[in-house]
Amino acid sequence: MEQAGKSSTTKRGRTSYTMSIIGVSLVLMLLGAIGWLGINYTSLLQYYKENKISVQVYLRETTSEADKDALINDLKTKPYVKKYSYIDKETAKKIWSDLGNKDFMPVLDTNILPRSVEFNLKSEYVDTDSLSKISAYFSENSIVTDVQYPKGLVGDLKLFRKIGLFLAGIAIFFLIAVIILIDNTTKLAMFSNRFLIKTMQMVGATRWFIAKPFDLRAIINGTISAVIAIIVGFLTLSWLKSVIPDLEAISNSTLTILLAVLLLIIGVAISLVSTHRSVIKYLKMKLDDLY
Amino acid sequence: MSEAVIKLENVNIYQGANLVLRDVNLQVNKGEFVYLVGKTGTGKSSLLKTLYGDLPLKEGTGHVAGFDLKTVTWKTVPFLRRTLGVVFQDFQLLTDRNVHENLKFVLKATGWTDNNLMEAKINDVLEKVGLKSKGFKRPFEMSGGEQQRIDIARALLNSPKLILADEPTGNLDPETSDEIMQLLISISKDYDTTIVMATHDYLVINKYPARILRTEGGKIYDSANYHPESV
Ligand SMILES: Nc1ncnc2c1ncn2[C@@H]1O[C@H](COP(=O)(O)OP(=O)(O)OP(=O)(O)O)[C@@H](O)[C@H]1O
Ligand SMILES: [Mg+2]
Repeated sequence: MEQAGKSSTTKRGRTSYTMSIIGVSLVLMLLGAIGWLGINYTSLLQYYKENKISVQVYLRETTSEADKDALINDLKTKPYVKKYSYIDKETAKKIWSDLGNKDFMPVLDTNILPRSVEFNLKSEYVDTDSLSKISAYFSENSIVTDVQYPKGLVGDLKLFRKIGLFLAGIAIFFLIAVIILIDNTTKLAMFSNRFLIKTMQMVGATRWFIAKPFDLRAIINGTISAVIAIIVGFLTLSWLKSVIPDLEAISNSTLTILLAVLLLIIGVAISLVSTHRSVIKYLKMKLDDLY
Repeated sequence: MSEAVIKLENVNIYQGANLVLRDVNLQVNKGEFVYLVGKTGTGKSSLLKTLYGDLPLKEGTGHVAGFDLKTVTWKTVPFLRRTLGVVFQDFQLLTDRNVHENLKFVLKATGWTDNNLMEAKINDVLEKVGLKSKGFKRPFEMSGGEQQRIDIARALLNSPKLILADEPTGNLDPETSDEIMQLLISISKDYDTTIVMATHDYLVINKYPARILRTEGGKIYDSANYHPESV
């Protein structure tokens, strides 16, 4: 009976042990993601502004080649243009169908899609004011029917900050869960070692001495958690780089390595501080009253 | 002039909200041997727990081995405990290790680091309790009397000024009880150690008479202050 009780406690202890290690890992992964976003915030934002926000200038159906070339030549001289491309009717149609739209040719028998010039801006010009001026400038041209750019996105460049805040929210949630888990693990470990601890208390061991083996274990566990988080982090990052090759240039590797070191320190700190806190808390109680 | 190892003045002892012993006034001097008797539940263990800092002293003043029980905190309690030895029934040897390891564990837990000094001390206390050759034994490989001797050896490790023993002969046959009593009395005499021993064993008291403290009805009666109705 007692044996059965003991082994189930041990099993419970081991499960919650593993879970605390994984929990700390999760917290660190989230912190790592936040940290990485933070480190590369400026370059990510620049990349986003220069690649994801483009202006479309649609040309009148009747526009002559010469007028079109004049417009492009004018565009080339503008300091805010990062890159541009001319989209003829065929390309427009291809983009149209690549977006998953039905071919309209059989119905309409003619390509109704207008020619357009698309350009990206240098990041310092991506703001509501500059964009509306630029848009107004091209709209005045008589060969232009319409100028479009993603107005909503321009006003909403706090995207990365929002992602960061969202991750921080989850991280705090996991952190609380982890502290509770570690507390429970510590409680179990202390209960199964209660005779040892009682002996130490009775003969006059200090709390620091009693807590030492728990603290050491916590440092080891924190290190394991951090190593897991760092490995997962690097794997994720290299996967992301293979999907988005531009990330290679954006990501700052020196700071990323520093971030990994920081995660190791944070992992050990979370594990150690919360374990030590729990040990002291339970030492203040009568050990036999733990369960 | 006798030196007080225990001095309690106007002490009230509580277990939770219950007043267990009231208005305790008590002085026990260096080298004294004192019995603590009284019916079950009258507060013997509570008194001993107060003396080693397990029950906080809420009312009155108390000094044990130079420590002020009123101001002792979780930081200083360990050092109070190192100046006294505790032999309690619910404070057993660790069963997962042998006698030598049990004793060494206590030394390490109380700040000893020099291995040679630790070995010498372990031999010393085992010799004092007459079990020098039993260091390799596990607690369950020994008789009740031997285990009790090892408990006493453990209490002696930090050369205590005071030994608190709660029914140390409780589970032993009369002959073995007798041996344990002789051991405790000789320790008290040879090393001038104060011993307070709670017991229900009147055979022992009759054979080895000494000062008696008796708990009854929430009070302590002391044979040293003779009251006709109390002894
Ligand atoms: N941990 C505790 N919590 C609450 N009450 C307690 C606790 N321990 C003891 N008591 C109560 O305090 C009173 C004194 O108990 P104590 O253990 O001091 O008696 P005792 O004289 O040592 O008895 P015994 O001879 O059975 O060992 C009893 O009424 C007991 O029920
Ligand atoms: Mg008792």
